[in-house]
Amino acid sequence: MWLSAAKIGLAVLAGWVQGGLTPKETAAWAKIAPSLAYVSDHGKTTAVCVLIDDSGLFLADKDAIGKDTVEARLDDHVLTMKRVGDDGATGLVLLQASPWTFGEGHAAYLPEKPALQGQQLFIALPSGPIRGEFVRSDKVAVLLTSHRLFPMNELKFEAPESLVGGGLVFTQRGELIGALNATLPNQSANTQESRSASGFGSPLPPAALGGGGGGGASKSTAMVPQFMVRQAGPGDLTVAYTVGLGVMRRVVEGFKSPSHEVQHPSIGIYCKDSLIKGALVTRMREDSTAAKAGMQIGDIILSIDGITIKSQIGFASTMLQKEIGQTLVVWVLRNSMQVRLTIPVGKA
Amino acid sequence: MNRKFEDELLKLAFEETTPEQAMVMERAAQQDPEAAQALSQYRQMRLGLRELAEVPADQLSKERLREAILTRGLKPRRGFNLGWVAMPAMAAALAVVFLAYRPHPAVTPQVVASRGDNPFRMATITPPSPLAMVTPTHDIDSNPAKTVAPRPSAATMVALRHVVRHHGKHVPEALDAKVKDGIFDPEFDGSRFAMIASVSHSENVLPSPSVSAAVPAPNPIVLIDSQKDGNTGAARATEVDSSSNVVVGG
Repeated sequence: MWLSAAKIGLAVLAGWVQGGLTPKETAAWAKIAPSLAYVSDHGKTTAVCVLIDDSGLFLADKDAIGKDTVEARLDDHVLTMKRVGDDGATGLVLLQASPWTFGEGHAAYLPEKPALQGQQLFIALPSGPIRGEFVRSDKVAVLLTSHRLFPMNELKFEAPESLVGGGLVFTQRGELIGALNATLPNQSANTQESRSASGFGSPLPPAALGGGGGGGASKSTAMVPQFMVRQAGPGDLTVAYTVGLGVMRRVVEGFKSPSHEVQHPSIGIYCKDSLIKGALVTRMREDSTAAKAGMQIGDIILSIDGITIKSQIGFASTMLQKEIGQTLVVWVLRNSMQVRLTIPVGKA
Repeated sequence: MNRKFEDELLKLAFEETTPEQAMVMERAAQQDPEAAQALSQYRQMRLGLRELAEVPADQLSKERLREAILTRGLKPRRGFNLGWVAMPAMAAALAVVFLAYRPHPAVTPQVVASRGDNPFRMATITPPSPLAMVTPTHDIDSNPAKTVAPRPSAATMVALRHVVRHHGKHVPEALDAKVKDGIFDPEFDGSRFAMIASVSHSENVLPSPSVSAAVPAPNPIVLIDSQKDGNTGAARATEVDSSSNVVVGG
């Protein structure tokens, strides 16, 4: 028994010294690897997608996938992936794999609660996994392509040599956090400190993934393809964002629905900050519920359901809490008069 | 905004101007955000004061008014005025508070991200003011369930003075006294003021801009561009403190 314990200890030590996966990390990655398919284009791996339903539905980043139909590899199987769903607001797409045998892969699932500060993560990239660390879940971001505001998760990781756009983020328990939506420009000033604090100096060499980490070598680690080989070495620390858990849950549930459609709550208006308090309506869809309820361009939204709106960010944040079908009581300022509107929440 | 303009705005808010003057003033107020905000506050004030008139004019009596004041928790006028004693003490206390909590001058804002092509992409992180630490702060937008009844601002004081001057008979006596003193002492707390301004979060009550006078806690907002970052291949993100020109849908 003592000999076995010593062997495990030596393996763990060897893993750290080599900068590889610990047995715990190897075991954690083993939960994630069967969920992933690697998209290739002319023999080059370009993107990674994750199985979210046993019926062969995969989720991926739209920009990473590019085309409507792509070829992908799951373990040793070559699959054809066809785009069947598209959420323009978050930039995520749904792919249907064929031919598909029910239960062929292991569907990933979302966590019950947001990750905690400092929690260790895996980021699955076409070139292989890298370590990451969860920073916070209270950021909000405006996606300028869709003009939608979403709560965001912030995470950080050591920038690899390869590109990270469209990478998929997992906890070490194997839960899907989301796809890398965006990154801040590199902040090399705090790299050394952050690295030493969070242990980012150690990349994940293929030797460790393939069993060099010790006792965790198994079928799942053998599934890690050889193209994950990359040069190890310290890189800049990168701050990245994924959409928050609530939005991610809405996307996954929408994709898994029979229509594969994601529905975000909306009353169909666009606002910017007003000079005084409130959100100034600058654009409105003609068929929107707001237009039908009598809202006009130039109105300043003062409150929604009794909640004071201070800015357009406040408006969008409040709308995030609403459900489709709910009815809102909205007070607007129009020509120095306050007007009460009743607006049902529609879908974006 | 000078005192004269402020008085003109008050007249406009209380509809004591001719239609021509009102048009001119409205136009002037629209061009000046500060004036527009002040005008909006005065109008809110007027609405709030209207709600004070819950007792019909023909039933007004000194006794009823006194009872109403006591019901609202406002104390009647003191027997004699100690304002000349209180003023220097209060000034000294304010000076001590200011010196103790003034922001440290050596700290400079730190630029974390900038883009030359758009001034709204310039982001700075400014250390929070020590005053903000001692002031109850929360952002109503991010935590709408809680509300803070604000202390009346200088503009509100001016408005109240105006009300006292022109509508004195509708203003409770004790409130009149507080306004004339020019200072709201600690006994006259914000919650009572909020009540007078008819602030309510019931969905059927007119919202009052004074509710949102709570000090906002700055939380940087991330703007995510469609443009890719050449180093990472992901969309480019920028942190900004101000997003006033960003159009957001919902």
